[in-house]
Amino acid sequence: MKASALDVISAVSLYLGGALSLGFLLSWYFLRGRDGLKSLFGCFALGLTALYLLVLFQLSLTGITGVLVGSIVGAVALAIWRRNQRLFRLNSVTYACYALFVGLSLLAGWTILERMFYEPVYQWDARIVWYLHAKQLFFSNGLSADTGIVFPNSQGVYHPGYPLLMPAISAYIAHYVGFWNDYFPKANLFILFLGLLIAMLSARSIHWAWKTIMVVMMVGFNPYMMSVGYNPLFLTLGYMDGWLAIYAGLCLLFLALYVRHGSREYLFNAITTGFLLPGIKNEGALLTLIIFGCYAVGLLLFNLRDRRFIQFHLKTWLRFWPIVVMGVLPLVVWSQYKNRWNAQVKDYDFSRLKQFGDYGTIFSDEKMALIDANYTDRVFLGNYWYLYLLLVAATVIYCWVTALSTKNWRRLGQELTLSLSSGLVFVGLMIVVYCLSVHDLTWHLSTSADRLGLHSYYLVGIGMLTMISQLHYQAYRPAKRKHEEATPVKKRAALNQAVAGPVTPAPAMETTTTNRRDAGKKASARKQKR
Amino acid sequence: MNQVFAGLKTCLILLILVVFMRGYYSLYVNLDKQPKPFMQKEEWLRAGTGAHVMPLPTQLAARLIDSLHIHDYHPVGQLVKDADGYVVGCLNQTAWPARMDSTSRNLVGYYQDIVKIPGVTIQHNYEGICVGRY
Repeated sequence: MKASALDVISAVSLYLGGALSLGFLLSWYFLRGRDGLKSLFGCFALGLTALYLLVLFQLSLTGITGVLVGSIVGAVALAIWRRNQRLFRLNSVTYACYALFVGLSLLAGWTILERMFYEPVYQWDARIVWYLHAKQLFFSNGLSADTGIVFPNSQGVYHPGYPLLMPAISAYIAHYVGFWNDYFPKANLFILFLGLLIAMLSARSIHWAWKTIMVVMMVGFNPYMMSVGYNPLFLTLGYMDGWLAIYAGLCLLFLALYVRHGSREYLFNAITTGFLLPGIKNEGALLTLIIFGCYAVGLLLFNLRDRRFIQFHLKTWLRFWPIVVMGVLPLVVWSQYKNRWNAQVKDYDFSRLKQFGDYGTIFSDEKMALIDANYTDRVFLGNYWYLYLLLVAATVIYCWVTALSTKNWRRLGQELTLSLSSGLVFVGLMIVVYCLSVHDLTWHLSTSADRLGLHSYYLVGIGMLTMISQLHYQAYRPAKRKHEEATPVKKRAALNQAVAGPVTPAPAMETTTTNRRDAGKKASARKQKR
Repeated sequence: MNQVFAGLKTCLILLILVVFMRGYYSLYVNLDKQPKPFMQKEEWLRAGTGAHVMPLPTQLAARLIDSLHIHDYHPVGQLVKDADGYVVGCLNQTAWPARMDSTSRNLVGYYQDIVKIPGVTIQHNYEGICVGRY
């Protein structure tokens, strides 16, 4: 039996288009009237989460096709029905820049794309966990009691506690094509690669040149992956760690952009990506907690005196409560399955943390020396860590110098806490987790340390690039940015007065108008009267 | 002040470039050390392909299970221990939907391991790997 490349391309297109459309349908009410391109990545992440939820609710793969087609038709119908609502605001120059960006990114990613499709699955985790689960879903047409992920007399290594989001995508692509082999089901990684490009299109506040640098760094041409000798294989082998790290970096990026610009679309993207992470791999739950924890700490630490600002943030979060519920649902359902199957991860003994007197044994010098040699040394780029530390120091100094000129140090402090501490907190927590390992630590480190180092690397790396790219934007356009920053209302009014000169009292109707569209309509009505 | 920013930005870009150049050097050094890719471009759109990268016992056992149309099997003997369980783990994925079941009456393993088991008749022997049945 043989298929054509067109079959695989149409399967990927249908899944991608369907996920985007489903995300759009689920979120349009919360984001109506907002910039559609900015929230495009959020729609993609939400769509993937919703499709994962449907798989967990035991909808068959044939049923998934119906949902994908229905979502595309529904999204088109909604777009036609709401055609007066401007979702995309782009001009030809922006299109040209984006086309150049996509071209450069594809060129950079060509190495990984080639290996992704022309190399069969052969590594341990990829073969025995991810693509076995995908094959099981494919042969049983979705998740059911007969799927075989768990059955009483099963043998061998199964890891039934690993999430099914990525295997479900592979299974769907194989279902669409009509048969299974060990090459094209890896197209699920290609969908994540396309998601990365969508994310860069959605990050509209970043200059396209910085976006290109970010993508080039993320797809494998980065010092960490090269120094450990795995570049660019981690994104193509079928392991999920590399892509989990990239998506954690994207979650951090959008949250940092939200802190900087206060745009609701960026918060939407960050929330949906955050809830996608545990679906990609179990460690994603820890990454999400760390990223949003660092955000909360930064928010509280630098805005303690400004309670209204904190209230504003909380209110914005509360607007997205249905999206949050939808993001949490797959986690809850999957936990129920794991409890029923007794498939909880048993590699670590967290109960030892309660034994306060035993900390000397848990964090012994021998363990720390092993962890240092196998994990932290790799995270900090091995033999040229000094360059890495120099880069971090330069970023921090550059940030503070910029803050002195723009006098916006409060928000900057919040951004720095989020962007630069997330990766370091993750390193610290991973050291604790490794110390609680119930396996032989040497074996455990040798099988997983290089992959987990990726998460820390991406969090710190993307955090730094986000800070630098945003500060460049701020430093060169101070006059324009002053109006957009969330400075206190009195200060903003004073600034406006200083720029515009003496204020003449405006007509009462215009001062009370807050809706731009209404203001535009009134202005056009006045013109017609003249 | 803008000149200071421009200078700082240039320094940062140079630093990033140095880090990346150092990384590219490592890439070229490491590429030779990495295993050669298993590219067979004509195979990637054909059903059931991709098992040729597996260890030979996995390939032979999977072929045997497929040709005998067995729905379940139970690996025994040295086959289970080969490459720290990698051979059997891969067999699990390659032979699916045939299930690896500890209660199965179809035993898969090396010939010398299967013949030692009392009450088992050899069904098929394929280059040293065979299927026996209670």
